[in-house]
Amino acid sequence: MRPAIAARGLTKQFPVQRGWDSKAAEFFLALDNLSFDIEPGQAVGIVGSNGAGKSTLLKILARILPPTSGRAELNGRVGSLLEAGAGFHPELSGRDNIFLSGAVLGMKKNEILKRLDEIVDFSGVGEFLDRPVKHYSSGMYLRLAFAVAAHIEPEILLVDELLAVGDAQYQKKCLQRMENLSQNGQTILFVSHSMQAVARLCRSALWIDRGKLRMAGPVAEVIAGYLKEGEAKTGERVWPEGHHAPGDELVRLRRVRVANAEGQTTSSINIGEEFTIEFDYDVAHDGMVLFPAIRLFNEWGTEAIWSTDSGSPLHGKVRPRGRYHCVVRFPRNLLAEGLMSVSVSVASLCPTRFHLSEPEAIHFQAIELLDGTTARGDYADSIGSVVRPLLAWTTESKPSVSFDSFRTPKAGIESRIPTPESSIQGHHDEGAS
Amino acid sequence: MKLTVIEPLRRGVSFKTAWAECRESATLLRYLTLRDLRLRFQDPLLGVLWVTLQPLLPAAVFATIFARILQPTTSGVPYSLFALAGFVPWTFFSTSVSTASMTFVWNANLLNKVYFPRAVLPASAMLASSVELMAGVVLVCGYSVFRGFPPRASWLLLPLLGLYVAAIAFFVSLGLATANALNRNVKFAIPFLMQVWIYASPVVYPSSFVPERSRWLLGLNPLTGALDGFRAALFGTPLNYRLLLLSLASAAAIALGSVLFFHRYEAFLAERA
Repeated sequence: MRPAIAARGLTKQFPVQRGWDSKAAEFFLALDNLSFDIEPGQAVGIVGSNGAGKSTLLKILARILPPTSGRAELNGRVGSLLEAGAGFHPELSGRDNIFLSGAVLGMKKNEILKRLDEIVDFSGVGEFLDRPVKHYSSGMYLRLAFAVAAHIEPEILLVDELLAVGDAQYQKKCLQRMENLSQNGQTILFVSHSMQAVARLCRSALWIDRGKLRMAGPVAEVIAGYLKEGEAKTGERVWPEGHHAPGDELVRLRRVRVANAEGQTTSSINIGEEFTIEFDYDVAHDGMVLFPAIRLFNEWGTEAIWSTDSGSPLHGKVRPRGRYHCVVRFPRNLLAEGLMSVSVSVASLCPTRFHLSEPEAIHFQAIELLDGTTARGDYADSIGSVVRPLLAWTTESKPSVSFDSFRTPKAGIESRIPTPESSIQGHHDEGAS
Repeated sequence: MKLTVIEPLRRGVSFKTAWAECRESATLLRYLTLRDLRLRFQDPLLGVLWVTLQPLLPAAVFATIFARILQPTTSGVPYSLFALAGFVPWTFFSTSVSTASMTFVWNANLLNKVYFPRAVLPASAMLASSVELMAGVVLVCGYSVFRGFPPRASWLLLPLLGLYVAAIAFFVSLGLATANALNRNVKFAIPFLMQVWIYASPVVYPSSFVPERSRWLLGLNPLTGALDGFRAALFGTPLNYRLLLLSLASAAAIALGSVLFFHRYEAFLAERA
């Protein structure tokens, strides 16, 4: 089978304007000799840092920009979604905008007419359909814009950062729709900064780094590789000798780091694996009982974890002068995914006095690979809990039940619904025996 | 299955492909034109008033001033009627060129987000202002009857002449819009160009007003044929066929140059606009 997208040596240069009166002789290489094949029906994510060339690649494939050299072949009708609401005009009604935006995205009149009801339903704008979109809330505007975009049915769909805008509801809808499209056999090329979204939607991914293809393969490997490199630089903080380190005349913080199961410094950990948070501090005088503690906050500022060295032999004992190295081991399946910040403190009691308190000593990204082994299982939606332990569940089911209790009883009338003969056929129970 | 090949474009895609894509984008052209019309006639009364006043006002001004100073010979047609018959095609031409030639710059964001044949943008702007031309023709026909020039068979040629003016407006805008996207300074030249152009066209004077020896210069202007043709069709005034043919030839040359220029740079519009 021919690949849906075959790129060979795609290169794109942009002229760089240095100043007002320089002749633009310098070039910026946005894409550097990129080659890859994408099989039909695959959803492929493109990851990379800002300015790596992801959007340029999509624009070239969408024919918005011509490449400087190289060649690409696309087999099938191409549709691009580089922005929700392309062609929208604020003064026009929702209905008019559906037609306009549909036409901009390459739909014919009868195609739009055929899908009009579907689009309106999907957008949920309801009675606002004939009002100018300038009166819409921004959420409603986005939903309508995406509704139109989601109903183009090309064989190859190029999608860029649709999820960067909009609320959680919108993002959920976007992802669901794209999952449907990819299940229908459309080839999707998907650019996003959200590793969650890429991991959820795509089986494989391309990692583009400064215009070059760094890695192509299964999505988990590519994401892990990308995050490992991108974040490794900030996975550790060190304060050299001197008085600028956090702390007071008794205790000073020297080093904090996050390490993965292999002991390597990282700032992205996989919640399905063990990891450690380590920190070093100096104590200047003998004779104090000190309580070191760490706290973990999620990106909304909720405290997820508080922990001190309660299990260690030093706990509650006088700590002599010297350097202390603490290693805090986290089990697998404890945290939820997201950006975590770590606060480090060292206190003495009676009266409570914080000698060292560094609120955002270090940050790390907790990521979850959607391989079904975490507490999430195969549930792909967003989860709000602060921690995500893997708990043991047992469930039993019986072959037949009365459905009476499902029905709202009508006053005075006793009604029975017949049990559907084949609604629940087998008997199954999980775990319990 | 449709195959799209993406290659560096030094001379644009083939004309065959470009033409096929233009034909496929009829839906887009339709809705873009409808959008412009919707916005323009949001207040229908004011919209219509504006459309009719546009040729009427300058015609009235010229009828009261220009006619007295220069007293051009207009083959027996009252000057106010003569001027209106000139300003109707002219105002359409000038407004549609001034708006259509900005379309690539105004829609730079759209150009950067979606691919479609770019010529659709100036074409829709031109089509949307063609209502001005239609309204104007109705106006001038009415005024013509009022001033004692009853309908004649040659009025049937008016739609054809309208198409001709629209075609010139489109091709001129296509070239100017491309130039505008490539170099922002072009937009400052457009009002200036229009000011010169109106006096280089037989709008407020008949082409016979220009001395015999240099009259061929008027023929280099594609609008000359349209304006002379308009009056000939409306009032049965004599038509200089040599001038008309020269004007048609220059229209063809402008159209060809404009299309070649646009085609050469179409792929780069998103980057440059």
